[in-house]
Amino acid sequence: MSLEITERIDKVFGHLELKISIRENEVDSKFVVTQDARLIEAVIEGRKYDEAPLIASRICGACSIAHFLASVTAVENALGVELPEDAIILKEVMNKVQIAQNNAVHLFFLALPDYYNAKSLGELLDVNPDLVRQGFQLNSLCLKAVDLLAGRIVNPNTYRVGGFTKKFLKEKIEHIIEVLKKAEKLAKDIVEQVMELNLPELSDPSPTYLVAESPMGYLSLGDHIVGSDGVRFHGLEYSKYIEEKAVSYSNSKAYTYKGKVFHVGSRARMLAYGERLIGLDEYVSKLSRLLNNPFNNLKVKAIEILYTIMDSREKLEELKDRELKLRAEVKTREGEGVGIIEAPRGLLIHHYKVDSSGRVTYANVITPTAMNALHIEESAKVLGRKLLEENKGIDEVRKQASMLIRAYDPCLPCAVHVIVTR
Amino acid sequence: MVKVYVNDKPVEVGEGAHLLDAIIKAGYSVPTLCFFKEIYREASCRMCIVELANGRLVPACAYPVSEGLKIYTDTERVRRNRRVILELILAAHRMKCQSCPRKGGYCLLLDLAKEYGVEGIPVCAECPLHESECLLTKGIPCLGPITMAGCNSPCTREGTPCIGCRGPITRKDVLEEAAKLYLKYNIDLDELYSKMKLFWNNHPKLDYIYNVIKEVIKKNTKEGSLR
Repeated sequence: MSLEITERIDKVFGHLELKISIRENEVDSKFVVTQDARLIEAVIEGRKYDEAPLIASRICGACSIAHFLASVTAVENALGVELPEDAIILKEVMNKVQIAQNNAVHLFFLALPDYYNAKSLGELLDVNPDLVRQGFQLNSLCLKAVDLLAGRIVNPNTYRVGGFTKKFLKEKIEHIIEVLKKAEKLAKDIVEQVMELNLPELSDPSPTYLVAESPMGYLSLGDHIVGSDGVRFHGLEYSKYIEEKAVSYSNSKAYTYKGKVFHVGSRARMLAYGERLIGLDEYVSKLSRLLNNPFNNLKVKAIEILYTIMDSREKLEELKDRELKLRAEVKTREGEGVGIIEAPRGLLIHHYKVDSSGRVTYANVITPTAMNALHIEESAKVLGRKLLEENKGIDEVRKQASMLIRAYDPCLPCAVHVIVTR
Repeated sequence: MVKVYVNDKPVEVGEGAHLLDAIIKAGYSVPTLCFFKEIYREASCRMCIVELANGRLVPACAYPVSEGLKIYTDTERVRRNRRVILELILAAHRMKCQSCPRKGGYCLLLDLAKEYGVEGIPVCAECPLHESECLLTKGIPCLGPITMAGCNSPCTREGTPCIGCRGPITRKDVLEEAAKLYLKYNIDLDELYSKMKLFWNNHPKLDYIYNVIKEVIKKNTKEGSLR
């Protein structure tokens, strides 16, 4: 048996093809990003440091806030800005709320229709109208919270390098808490439903993962990276551990960690810090047996929605009655900095060098989808082999392959990079 | 009573009424700037022009009604002429938006400029920050004075400077007023130029804008040197 499948994946952010070739019981797969290069790093180079976050937030409309926060953190580290504690907490809350919103979009609009035998959200509306309604409500509530925290739903404008621009009034924080309370109720229902889904079985081709270190709790901001082998290294040393290379068939780069294929994302976060999800032990213990299946990224995403909303509300309630210090002094100086953040799709690294006049002389962005590229290829191979053994038809291979890719939730506009040849 | 047709809709108004009364009674509206009921009816701004059946353009606020008159309030020709009128008004408008009490979403002229697609009023007209809180006074380079309004200033509202995403204003008088502001608050021209290039890099008039601002700063600096 020999056949070639080129599947154009729909319901992902951007343009993507998956090629699976089966020859004499050998399965090969290629993750081909057909999206054009975005040249964002070249645009950032040569500009003033405070313009870098503005440009970085425009890398992607879906996770614009994650790119903005990573970029701002990198610049702040390069300039040696010491943020007040309140500002860091609010930054974390901003990140968490946007992760909830992004996960909700991914679950309802892209991934879930597959599991109800619907081709799109429109068909899901006929099958399970309640779920679609809940999805829209949850998404709009999360968007409202993002809007209040970041000033806009994309390209935040309440924050500049050095801290928040304005004071957060008590009424505003109370408004956000109210919105999050409504979202929490919905999220609980949704998690119950998602946890009962039957996902396809698949074993993890490479259990290595990387995750941004969370010094306290789940998803807090730090500047170290932690690997599945227990190695912990500072963000600036990423190039020692993570090797990058260009691949001829795709517009995205491919990354390995110490020569091994690795994955990042919700599943990696759960593997590393799952026991810190306070109040959700029931779900976590149910999931812990299933975490070596890449499809289960979906269930983790649902739990993360509930946790991030709960945690953000608690954090904001602590901040509510305090006089907040949200801004630090910024002085231009020469330096090098890395911003490490957990974006909705996994570890995100922004790396800048700033010269003494405040211009960015070097910029590098490593995105989660690019890091996941090789892992997706390996998983697709395992899936192809498994379906070959089970003698499944070509339609089943196509269907399950695109479901697998959607489970990873790739974002292609983020993944494409220009390769500078000097 | 006199019967007139507003956009082919018959409506009856009293003797001696004006077209504007008939239009309002018929449920339509025309933009007015200078008209003030019972106080001012000189038709000097001409924004309220409407078209008669014979093709004449007349100001609705000052033209008396007559039996069987047919008027059209929103034809293509009317809109085109209103656009020209707006441009003429803006050409003579003093661009002191920074200190205008109508700023922050209360400017009728700005609303009309937005509706009719006329370039000319800067983001400062919509910015709610007062003269003492203006970002320029703190030395933050903001493109507000030379960027087209219409976004409702979401960035400056939150205290972040304008980055010019809606495109530049190319009218010389606006640019000169802006240059004076930049000079007053010691904003570095090179930094400003770098900010302009973020969104306007391909704009054909980018160099013109830069040169106008540079000229004004040169003229008003005693040493003739740029900071």
